[in-house]
Amino acid sequence: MEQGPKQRPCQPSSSYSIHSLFDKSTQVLLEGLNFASCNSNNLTEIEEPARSIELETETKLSISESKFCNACQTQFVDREEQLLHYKSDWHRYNLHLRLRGASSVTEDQFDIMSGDVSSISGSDDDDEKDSQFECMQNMEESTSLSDNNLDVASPARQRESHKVFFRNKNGDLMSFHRCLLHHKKNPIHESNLLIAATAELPKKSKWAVLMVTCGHFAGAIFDGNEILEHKTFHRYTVRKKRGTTQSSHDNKGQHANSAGANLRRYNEAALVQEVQELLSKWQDHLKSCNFVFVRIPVANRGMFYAGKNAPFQKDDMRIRVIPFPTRRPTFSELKRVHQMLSCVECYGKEADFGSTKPRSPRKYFDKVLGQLEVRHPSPEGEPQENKNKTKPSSIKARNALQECPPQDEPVKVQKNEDEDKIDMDLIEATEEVSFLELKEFEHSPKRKRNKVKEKDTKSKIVDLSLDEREIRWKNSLYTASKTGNENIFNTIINEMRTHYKEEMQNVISTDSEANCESRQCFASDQLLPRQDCLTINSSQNGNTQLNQLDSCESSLIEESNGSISATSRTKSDSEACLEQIADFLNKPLGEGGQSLLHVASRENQDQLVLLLLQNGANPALKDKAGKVSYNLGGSEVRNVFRRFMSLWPDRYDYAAAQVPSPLTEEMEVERKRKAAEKRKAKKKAANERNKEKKAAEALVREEQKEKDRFLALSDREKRALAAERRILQQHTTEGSVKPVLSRCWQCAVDITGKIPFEYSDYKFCSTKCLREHRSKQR
Amino acid sequence: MAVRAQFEGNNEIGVFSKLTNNYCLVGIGGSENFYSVFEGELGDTIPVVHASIAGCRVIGRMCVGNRHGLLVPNTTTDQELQHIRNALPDSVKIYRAEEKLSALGNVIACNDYVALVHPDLDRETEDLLIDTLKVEVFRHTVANNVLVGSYAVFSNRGGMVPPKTSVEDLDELSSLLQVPLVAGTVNRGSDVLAAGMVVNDWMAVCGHDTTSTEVSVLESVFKLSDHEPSQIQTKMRDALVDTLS
Repeated sequence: MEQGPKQRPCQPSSSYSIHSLFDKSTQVLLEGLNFASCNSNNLTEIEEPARSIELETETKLSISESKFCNACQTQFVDREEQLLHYKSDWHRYNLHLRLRGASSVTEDQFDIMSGDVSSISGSDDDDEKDSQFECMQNMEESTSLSDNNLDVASPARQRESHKVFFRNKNGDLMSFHRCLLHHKKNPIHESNLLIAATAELPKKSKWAVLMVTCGHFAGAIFDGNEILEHKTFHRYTVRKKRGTTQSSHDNKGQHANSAGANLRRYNEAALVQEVQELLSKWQDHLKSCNFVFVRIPVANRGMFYAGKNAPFQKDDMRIRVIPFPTRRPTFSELKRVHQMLSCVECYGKEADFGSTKPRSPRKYFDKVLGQLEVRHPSPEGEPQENKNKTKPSSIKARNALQECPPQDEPVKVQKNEDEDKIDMDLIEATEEVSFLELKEFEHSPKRKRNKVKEKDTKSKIVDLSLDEREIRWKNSLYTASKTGNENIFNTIINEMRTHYKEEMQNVISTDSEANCESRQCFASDQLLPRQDCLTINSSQNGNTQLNQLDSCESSLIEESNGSISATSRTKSDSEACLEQIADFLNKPLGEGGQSLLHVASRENQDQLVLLLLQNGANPALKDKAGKVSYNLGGSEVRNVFRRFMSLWPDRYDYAAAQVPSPLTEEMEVERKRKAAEKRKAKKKAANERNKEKKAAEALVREEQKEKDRFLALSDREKRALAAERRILQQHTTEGSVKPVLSRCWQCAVDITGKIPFEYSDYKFCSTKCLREHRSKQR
Repeated sequence: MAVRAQFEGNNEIGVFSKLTNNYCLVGIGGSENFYSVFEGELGDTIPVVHASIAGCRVIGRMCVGNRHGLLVPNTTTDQELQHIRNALPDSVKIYRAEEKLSALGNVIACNDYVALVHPDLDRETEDLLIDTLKVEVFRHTVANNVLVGSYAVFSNRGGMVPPKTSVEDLDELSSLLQVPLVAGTVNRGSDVLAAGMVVNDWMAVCGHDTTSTEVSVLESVFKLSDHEPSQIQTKMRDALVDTLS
């Protein structure tokens, strides 16, 4: 392993500062520049490690003769000894030690430790050993840690640093970006040339910075710290989440044809065109630029270098790549890049650093001031990110933040708000203290939001007490509508009714108080806003608020007219109660936004659907998928809806519920009659068809029988039969009387030309004759 | 000669295959692409067998074997064992090892003569190795890693160890295994060598990501190259020139 001299980047000292290259004051600093010593090792040592690796691989292709165990530090005489050693427990133990980073033990030490245990089982782990070597391990760890640091630092040394360090006449160490001094293609190693290039820099003040990524373009032309031109574009070229531009996706061989793909393809081309047009407009400026700093992905390089009137030539020595990571190309990012590139970093006295390379602290770009700021790491090592997250918009704001200690904050806020807010805002002031910087921007919309929040919390508290019961109701109603259990449904509805009625009683008692107060307000001709009404009736639950509000207001009007009757009140109460139940039934359940009616309808529980409709479940409600309950059910359930529509045609909005038409009793009777008729006609037709079929079958059977009989005859008889037929045929064609060639043996009927029934030479016209003949014979 | 292959888009082909001088086991994949790479290269010399061990396709990590035999973990089912038995030549002994470290391929690296094993391997398994595979067994680590079977790969002609191995260890291992060793990588810098490649005395298969530099290193150390200077050009050259002149 390679071991180099220890070299850690130094912490930036407090003397660190940044200066703009183009400031007059910086010129003084740049006088009498000399090449700093911390550069030197970079320039010479670049190629060494690679060579050594090559040598190694060449020499290694041979079998080693060394009979030595590194883990146990022992030498062997011959192969047998070596073989035995690798089987020994001592070796195994040392291997374990080495894995833990501890140093090995000698055989004698091991013998003493293991005592008279002859062999440690291969699969056993012993804790004893662990504890013994813990301290050793710790020691080892500390050393190995430092080794690791070395390994991490070493690859960085091999690369050429992107900064060049100089020492000025005061002995201050300062650095420039290497890309300012020379192009990558023709590197300068000689220190005097580098110094000469540095001296030139302040005169080369006209820079262009161009950045393109992901469909964003930003470009600006600077002269010193002054911005001559700037422009940013954005085109949609990169698909969200998948990433990569459309063209690079297309180049992989998958040519997407979606609308989005075409859009991106078009936009890419448009972006290139726009950028090229812009650059041609800036041509005069660009020609006179000393440097052009670009950040452009390889795939997009064509934008600058390709085409007939390409803005740049590929071998243009003014073009430099921005040597540090950049964010999305925006105008402020351009300014940041320009500032970063043009800053001269001063690290303090060179003597403090020796040959080590100083590390510059993180720099933040202040968008408002348009300047880079250095943030020194705080002494406690507190991460800078915390501060960064709050992102104060300006230094002023940050100072304000630092000035007021945290314990003062609530007091201040309260003071400010007391003047223009009513008393209920007192509560929220304690919540809002952390958003101190928003203090001066607070205005009415903000307050509105807070009010809503407060109302929420209030209703939540009341809800908590009700939650359990409502959940139980909800669950049992859900199961009832799922299984079609009417009993459960009815009991729950009754329970709800009694509960809401009780609540009504409570409300009435509180109402009277409210009315007293509200009457006073009414007398002074003030319109009562709902909010105030709510705050008065503080003991009410969130669900009932609206109804109470209505009843409260209506009663108020009645009272003002001086005509309030107990009966009308109870009536309105029962209605309100029903309404509450309906509200409860109409609440969407679960994620699908389905109401109980949806559930019952989907499960084809027609009785439950009817009950729900009677209790005020609205069929016009839609679930998340936009379906109404009518469309979920089967035909029977749909009929329930329609029947309900015929009975209560005005109760719900049936058009919204998509119930097509009412279904009355007469219609149903009529329909039944029609169905019966239809059935009858169908039956009749079926009967006739059957008859025809049977007749045809009988014919076929007859024919088959005839055939069988014919086949049963001997060949001689078949021939005789054929002859008979021929004679018959002859006679019929001649028109003469048919001769009788054969007769039935029993009834003497003419059977000429017919296939006879026969047994032992007797021939008959039918089986009947045959049977008679046979029975006579016996 | 070294061939590049991929198992269902995965470059760790040593996981899904086991290559020895006498047979080759290939995991059962969704397609025959991987199998046909082996079949195409080895089909007329040694049997290339589809196999699974304990229902897994990662046979390369589960079993260990050489010309003389094959050890499978005790999780192997009877049916799988019977299938392997039927497919392999009769000269190959097959045994089930009752080993706690059941991924035998990860803990044992071997050629036809020596085996490098995990320091904590059972004595019984060690004996079984000696009997079945006819090897000398060395308990050792590779680059301070106990999973020697995953990190080291060697044939009878050469071997490779991960780049983190120190020069002294390389020397020691080379003297133990009696083959020339180099430190190298496969699959564009992966140091899990045995997972990234399989090798026998005349061919190697490595992952698709392996760079040509890596291939050239492994061809030279495993002596797979067709253009290797023959004996005539090297050792016998002087003598020949002498007689011809």
